[in-house]
Amino acid sequence: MQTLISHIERCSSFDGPGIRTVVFFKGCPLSCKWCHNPECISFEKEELFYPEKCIKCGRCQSGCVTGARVVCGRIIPVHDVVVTVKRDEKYYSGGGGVTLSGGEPLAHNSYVNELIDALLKENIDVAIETSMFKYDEEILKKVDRIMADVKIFDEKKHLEYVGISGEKIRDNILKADLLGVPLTIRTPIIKGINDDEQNVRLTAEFASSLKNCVRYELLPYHAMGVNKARALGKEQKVFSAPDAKTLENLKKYQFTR
Amino acid sequence: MKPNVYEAEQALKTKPIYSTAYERVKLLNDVMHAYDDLPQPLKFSRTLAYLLENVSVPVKEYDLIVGRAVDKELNAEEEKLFQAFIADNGNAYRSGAFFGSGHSSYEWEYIVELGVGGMKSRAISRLSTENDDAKRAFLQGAVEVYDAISSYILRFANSAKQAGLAAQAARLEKVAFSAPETFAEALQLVWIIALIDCAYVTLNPTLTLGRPDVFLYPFYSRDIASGRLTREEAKELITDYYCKHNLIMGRGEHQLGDDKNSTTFDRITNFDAPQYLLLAGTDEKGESAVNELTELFAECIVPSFKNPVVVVRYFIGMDKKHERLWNILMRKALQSSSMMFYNDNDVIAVLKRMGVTEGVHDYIHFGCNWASTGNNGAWMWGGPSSFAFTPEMSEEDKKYLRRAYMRYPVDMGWEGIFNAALYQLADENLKSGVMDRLFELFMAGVKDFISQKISYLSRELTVRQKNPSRLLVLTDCFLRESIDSAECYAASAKYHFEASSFQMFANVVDSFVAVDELVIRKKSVTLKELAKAVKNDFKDNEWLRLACKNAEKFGSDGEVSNAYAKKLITAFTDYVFEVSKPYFEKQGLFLMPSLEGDTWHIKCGRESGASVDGRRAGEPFAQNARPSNGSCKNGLTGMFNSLLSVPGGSVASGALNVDVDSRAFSGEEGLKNFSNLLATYFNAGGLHAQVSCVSRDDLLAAQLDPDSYRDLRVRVTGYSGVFVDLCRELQDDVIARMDP
Ligand code: SF4
Repeated sequence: MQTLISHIERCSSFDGPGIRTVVFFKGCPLSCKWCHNPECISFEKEELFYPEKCIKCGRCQSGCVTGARVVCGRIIPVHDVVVTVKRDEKYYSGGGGVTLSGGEPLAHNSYVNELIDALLKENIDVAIETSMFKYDEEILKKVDRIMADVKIFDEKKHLEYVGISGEKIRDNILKADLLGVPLTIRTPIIKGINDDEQNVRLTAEFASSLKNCVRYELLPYHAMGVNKARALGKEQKVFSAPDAKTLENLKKYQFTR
Repeated sequence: MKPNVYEAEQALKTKPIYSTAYERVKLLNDVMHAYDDLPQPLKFSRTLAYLLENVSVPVKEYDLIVGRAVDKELNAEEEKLFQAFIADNGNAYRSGAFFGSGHSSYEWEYIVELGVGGMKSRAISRLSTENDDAKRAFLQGAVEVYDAISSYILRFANSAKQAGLAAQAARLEKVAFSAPETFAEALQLVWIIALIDCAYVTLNPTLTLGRPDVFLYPFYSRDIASGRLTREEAKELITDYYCKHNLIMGRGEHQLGDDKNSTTFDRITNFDAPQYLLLAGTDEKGESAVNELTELFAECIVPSFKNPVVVVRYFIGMDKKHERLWNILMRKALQSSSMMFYNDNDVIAVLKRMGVTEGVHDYIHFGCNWASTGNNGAWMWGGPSSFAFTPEMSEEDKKYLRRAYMRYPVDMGWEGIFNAALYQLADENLKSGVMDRLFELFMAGVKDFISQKISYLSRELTVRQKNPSRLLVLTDCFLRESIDSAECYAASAKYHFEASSFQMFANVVDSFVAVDELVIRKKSVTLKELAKAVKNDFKDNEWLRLACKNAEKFGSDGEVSNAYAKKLITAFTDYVFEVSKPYFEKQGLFLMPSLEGDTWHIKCGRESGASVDGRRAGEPFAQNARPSNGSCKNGLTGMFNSLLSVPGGSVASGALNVDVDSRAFSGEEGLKNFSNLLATYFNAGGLHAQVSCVSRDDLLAAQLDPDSYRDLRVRVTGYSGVFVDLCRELQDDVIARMDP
């Protein structure tokens, strides 16, 4: 299976320290019900269709120019990704670099391995945003920082909303903690699903027990995936962000060290 | 909040839009023809003296820096007089004695070194050796202006005394005649002179306040060393000085207003144009001119103020060399303060390339973003815009002085030049070399435009120089050289210049790219079809319009657009320098290459047909140096990279609006990221940036017109998203977050 990249986003100030270029890989073994990048779940090339932009010109075959029909998923050689990344190299000086995201970068280990090597050769800081659905020591020990989600502490709920075992994810994180790579643990907070204090407290305790965890942060839910899922012909349930008061209370569990 | 800051903020928010400095109109009306028999310099000095003797001199108990003007809404009777005055004079600023349209700069170091009395003595001594009648009148006029200023300052001293402000009164009494000795006295004098210019003399008070961190530094350091002044006291004085600039600021919109808020030149004396103040930058040795006072002036910037506009002169490495200052400036920038950044390395390179040798390091920028050589230069358009006619002047000469040949105050219509080239090319039926030919035809149109412009300007300057002492303007009283030569700077300055802007730069670049992409590479359309569609405003061909609109755009850091940007700007600037050279050698006249079009992209857009970049007829063009709205699909770094494809030292001005969502760069980490981003851009040679945080209004507009707002990014939670790509629910959510 060839690795597809959904898109490359430049000048992000949210996916790790400094100014970063984010590479979104297509394909993820999880199926979080609130996924904000539903176009990155399938490993196959897909088409997103936005009917409101369609002018019914009948030229779909020769390539849509209106933005109504957008193909998602391209094979991009490692070298070309590095070229794109390097266009912003001068802006990385304040601690920035590249973040591998998705989708699930660890589901594309051979490509990702090669890309990391190429980036490190260029002295570019590499972060990985992963679900930690698996422990891939070869990749994880090489990167400069790991960002992983612990979404729901309760195993049953985790299986229900994420589709795989949360305990296994935590096990993998514990293993990764031994690598000496700085870890950021994050929890997307969804109203009525995991915004109870016990869930966040347990997760924060888990995060703070990690030797290399430098940060624990909460990411309030947003409906970013809904529109894209619709364009893919799928329906995504709309969840809600936590109440401001609840979130304020939960924020006490965030830490940076 | 301190009362002075509160008062200034309130003035900006609540001053009636049609409030007018009525006293000025009324007093000018009294003496409108009283001095008609005198030469203009004396007519000017006596009219000004009458004004300054009779206007109100109010003082408030919390004034640290004294000097206010009164403005009000007019009653029916006053309105009648006002209208009659305008009918007689063209606008509320003219009296037949006053010339000039703002956009001037004074030799501030000269003013604070000599004081009013010192400048007067200099003019008197120059007068004693002059025999020429016109020059004698010029110098006599200047002497009378100094006297008028002294009396005006004394009137304020009395008001201050009566209000119990003994220290302020003492300072005013001192600077009424003598040179200032302390920081407070020097700043007081600077303000009074600025006030006279902005409130009572000029047509458009875009006065440049020079480099106060440089020219006031000797006063500041002396005071600090002697213990006469503390850092905190200096800050209070500067803040009050900033407040005063906001009190004379009119509301409304002088360029793009509608029926409700339009306040055109003929209406207002309290104009909505700001003053400009320069900070930081390099000295004549190319070394940092930053000092402690730079920091104080930066610290005192109040983000809610509109005035003055602080122009920070960046130089390569400033972020590291003056880390604390850079930090302060970035904080203020992210609060959308009224400030902008220019890169010394670019502006100075342009001036040097032209051959400017004197005062290069004291360059300044006038509002809005017009570069100038400094005190030894006169901006052809911005200076006295209609030099006094002489009785013997020919109609032809008068035509040049009136700018009768100019289509717009700034260069316009370059998309029209492009379209003309396209239409001609479509008829030529070339089999190969299409892009080269298009470039050639476009540049031929551009060269024609530019060469005609400078030849007209040269004629205008020649007319001015026929009788250089005929005119005295306030600026002359504050320029050493004008007094020495007894000639108006607008005729006799060492350098004369006019901006030559590559107008609609991004639209032109994008038009080249669209032809290259759609006609040559993809062959989606023929040249003839494209030309026809553009001529017809893409009527019945929305597909082609969108194909043009979605072709690669300048601002996305694409290789093709970057290459065209570089090629076009290089050909343009090379020609500007080449065509200027003989005029520069003969008259010191040159065109300053720029990417500045002010707000004319809207007005000109309204009058222009469709363009090849997919812009419909009537829609705005891209503004100044900025890519077209919605083009920066690779974020700020992509936009900066595109801008960096314009070689350093090509243009001396051109505003780049950098709109950021404050949430994208919030907290200390956000500040660090943003500071680094901007410094990297400037250290790589970026020319200009002015930062605004994205407003709620923009987000609402983006919902109505998503394609024009593609570069609008918002923080969602732990990452950023393109606003218009978010679903409606989320967009509403983000808008709600931005509620005040
Ligand atoms: S090409 Fe695009 S706009 Fe045209 S019909 Fe197909 S989807 Fe619609």
